[in-house]
Order: sequence, then structure tokens, then C-alpha cells
Amino acid sequence: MLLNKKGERLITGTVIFVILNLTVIIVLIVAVSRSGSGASLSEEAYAKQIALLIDAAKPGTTLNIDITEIYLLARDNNINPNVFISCETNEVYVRAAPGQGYRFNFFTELKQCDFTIDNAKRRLTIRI
Amino acid sequence: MFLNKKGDEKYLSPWNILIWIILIGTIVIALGMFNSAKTDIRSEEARILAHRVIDCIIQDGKTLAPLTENFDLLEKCNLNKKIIEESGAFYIGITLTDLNTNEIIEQYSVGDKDLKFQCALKKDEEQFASCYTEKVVITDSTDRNLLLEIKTASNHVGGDSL
Repeated sequence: MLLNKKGERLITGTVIFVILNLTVIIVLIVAVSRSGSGASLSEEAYAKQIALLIDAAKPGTTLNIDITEIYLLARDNNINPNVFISCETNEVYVRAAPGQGYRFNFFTELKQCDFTIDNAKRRLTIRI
Repeated sequence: MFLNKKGDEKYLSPWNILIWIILIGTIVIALGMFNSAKTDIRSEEARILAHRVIDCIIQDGKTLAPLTENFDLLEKCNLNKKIIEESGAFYIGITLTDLNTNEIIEQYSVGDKDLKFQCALKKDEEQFASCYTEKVVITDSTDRNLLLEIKTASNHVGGDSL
């Protein structure tokens, strides 16, 4: 059908050019919208705030932290919210969007590793 | 597929790829700068660390323990050894001075000493550690007035495990 081979190559090249450009633009839009939604920023902010609270608390303190925002962001991103405190590695881990989540270290040596998450009240309780 | 080399260059030229890299790089750097500026808590960490040390070594206006080489500050203050000492992200420096003679009686430090020099150099350089200094006047067992100076520094940016 296409007798003109130069024209055929031109169409193929243009299609590939458009597909590549669209791929780059889509990747950028996804990355910017993810960042713009505040998911990654909230993961980081919550991880750092929880770590600071643990470091600033005196022994015997019970911390009750409202993590509703993490639940809402996770729901918007169709994933299960994940907030975890590792006493072995002294880490707070928060995940509210697809990706690796965010981890942040606290410098306090916890005598007991006692934390619970109340899914109904969307509350994290840590006993220092 | 691209038999015509002219066409090949036209659609997948190094310039095109370079433009994509510049575009992506600019957006990634801009977003990174925006996010990191909002969540930099190094100065808060340094302040909390200093107060933790003060709370655990001073009681009723007296030092609790002599700051000798065998003194284990991290153990006494419930601070994680791996994070404070080995990560290179924290520094704690304690100086005890006799207020009457201005003589330094004891000095103690733990953590990355390089951060101490970063504190001295730091003005607006964001990559340098954030520092905090607290001075407390105390009395020892012989009722000497002593100045306890605690310098702490944090360069804990986060994102990766220490």
C-alpha cells in the first residue's frame, strides 16, 4: 500500500517519537502529582515527628499520636497504611503511598518495645 | 528500523535525550529542595539531644558522674550507641570549666568530631550539621562553681537507615 518507503519510515519515526515523548511526560506527571498530593511529604513528616517525640520523651511517658492523615492518604492511594517502629534498628517507618515509604532513625535506646496501632481510632500509642 | 540515519538523528538525537534529562533533573531537584527545606529537623534533634544529656548527668545542680574516659554517657543517658557513635550523624561534646579560675577541668566527647568543626564553620551552608549549645552553672561536691557547656550537632538527614 505504501509504495513510498521514505514516507513509511517518516510515519514510523514520528509515532516512536510521539510515544517516547508521551512516556516521559506521563512519568513526570505521575511523579509530580504524587509529590503534589503530599503523600511523600506526609510520610517523611510523620516519620520525623514520631522519631522526635520518642527522643524527647522521658521514660514512663505514653505517646498517643493521631495518624488519621496517613490512613486517608493510603486510602486515596489504594494501599494499606503502614506505620511501624523497629526497636532493633531504631527506626520509624511510614508508608501511605505506593513506593518504598519513609524511614527515620531515633537515637533513644528504648528499654521496652511497646507500641500499638488502634485501627478504629487511627491512633498510634507508644510507651517509652 | 531507522534505515535513514538522518531520520534516526531527528527523532532520537542526543539533544532530545539531553533535554529530557535536564527536564526530569530540574523537576526532581526542585521537588527535593522544596520537600527537604520543609522537613529539616536537624536543629531540633541537636536541641533534644543536648537536653537529654543535661537531664541525665545533672541532678539538683550537681554533676552525677565524673566525665572520665571510662564514663559511658550513651549507656547512662539511654542513647543508642550505633546511631550516636557509629553513624557519623551526631556529636556530643561536654566541657566542664571552673568559674573561679577559668580552668577547664574535664572534657568529654562522643560521636563524629568532624561535626564539631562543621558547627564552627556553619553560616548558611545547608549541608553542614545543625548545632546547639547549652551552658549550665553547677556546683560540685566541694561547692565550687562550675560551668558545664554542652555542644551537640546533628547531620541526620534521614531517608536511609543509619
